[in-house]
Amino acid sequence: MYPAPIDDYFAPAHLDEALTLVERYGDDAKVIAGGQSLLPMIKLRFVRPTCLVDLTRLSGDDGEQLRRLRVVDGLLEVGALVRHADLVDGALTAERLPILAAVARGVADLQVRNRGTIGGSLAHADHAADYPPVVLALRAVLEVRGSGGSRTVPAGEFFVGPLQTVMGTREILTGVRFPLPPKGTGIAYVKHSAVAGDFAIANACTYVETDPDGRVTTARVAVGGVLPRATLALNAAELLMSGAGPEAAGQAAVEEVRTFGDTRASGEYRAVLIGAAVAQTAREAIAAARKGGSGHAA
Amino acid sequence: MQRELVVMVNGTRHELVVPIRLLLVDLLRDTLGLTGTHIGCSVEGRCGACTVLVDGESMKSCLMLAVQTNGRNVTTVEGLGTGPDGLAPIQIAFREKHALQCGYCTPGMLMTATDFLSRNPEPSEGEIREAIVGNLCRCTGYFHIVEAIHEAAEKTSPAAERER
Repeated sequence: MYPAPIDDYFAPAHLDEALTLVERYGDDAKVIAGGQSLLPMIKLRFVRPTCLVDLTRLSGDDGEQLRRLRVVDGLLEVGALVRHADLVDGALTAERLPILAAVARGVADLQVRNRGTIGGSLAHADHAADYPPVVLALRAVLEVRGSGGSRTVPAGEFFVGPLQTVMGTREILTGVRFPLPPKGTGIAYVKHSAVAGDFAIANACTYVETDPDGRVTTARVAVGGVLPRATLALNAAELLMSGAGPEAAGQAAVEEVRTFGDTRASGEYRAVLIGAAVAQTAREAIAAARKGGSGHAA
Repeated sequence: MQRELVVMVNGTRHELVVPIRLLLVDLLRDTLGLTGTHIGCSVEGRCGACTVLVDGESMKSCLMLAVQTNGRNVTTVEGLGTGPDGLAPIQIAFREKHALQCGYCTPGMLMTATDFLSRNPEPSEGEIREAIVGNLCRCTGYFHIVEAIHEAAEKTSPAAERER
């Protein structure tokens, strides 16, 4: 199927040029990196950008920054152009934040992971994508650049609604920073989808820190596949911190997160999966935390 | 509406002027006549029949604009075979293990398998099955495809090379 007509295509070497272009074209421009979500949208005429600004040819300092994968001051910095495959294969993710490698490994398929980027996925903001519950539970911070300069947005404030973020059309997502978990931390992620690699019917990420006696001192639970956006399940997290078990946390998540039916699943089925996903990730995260070290399960 | 494009396809350099919205798969099939790359789903990139290698990595040519391959090396199934009979080891393995019936998914399967085996030369069956998640086959039930990829791995793995 042919994409809708596109009048202009630019592949600038510098981010400033890209920002000038999105400033000039405004709502008519779309920023493209891997294009694994954008191109189907253009084929289906859900969006009709007259101008594409391709970030994949950024070079020099900008290219380095948007492709970086490095640890600085207790943060894992991931450039927006880092591909899912880079996260799966990268030694740094495997060593410092293996949950991210595990999550990336479940994104779509090999071919899409070779081209799609973490920045593209986050900026596209599909409510059923893999990363949203993870950035919420890990309290990641997103870096956004506009012509006026850079700003950072906590993950909890980034997603607005389905395919909507706080970014303006004249801004570009440049990266995401993940705080590295301290010792005694456990993180787990699970996705329930109709077929392997698909978007989630329901997904969940649970983050827990435990004290030397194995008691949960900090917990964050996030679920996705729900509208209008992935969300923290605050009551579920509270329960884990009060010593309740994973099953109770799962039940709490079902009660506090409103579910709906769509072409993927009924609201009732989705609620069951959310409960199961939260219970499973809580169980795995607590077990990993109690093993000591910063364990991860996915 | 149009852009200049310089791209290497199967080792041949092409200088072209193409519409911006032209997909890589349509460049390959319609402009260059390389119809070995197939179109199945055509929209969301779910079927994998259009998989090609871009700079050695498997990608879906229906999810890329042709202009995005400027300066890149594209390999299609026509460029895969370099052996004496014109076939790559993965193609020989597909033939020997009866890994195709209608053959429609085969070019995409071959390209994905080529990329996968270059990263993981000695895969388990589970890893092979995971690798072809993005390639749909509606004939074989995948059993013979998995066997063929396994066979190709055994014939070309570093361990097999050492024994030679």
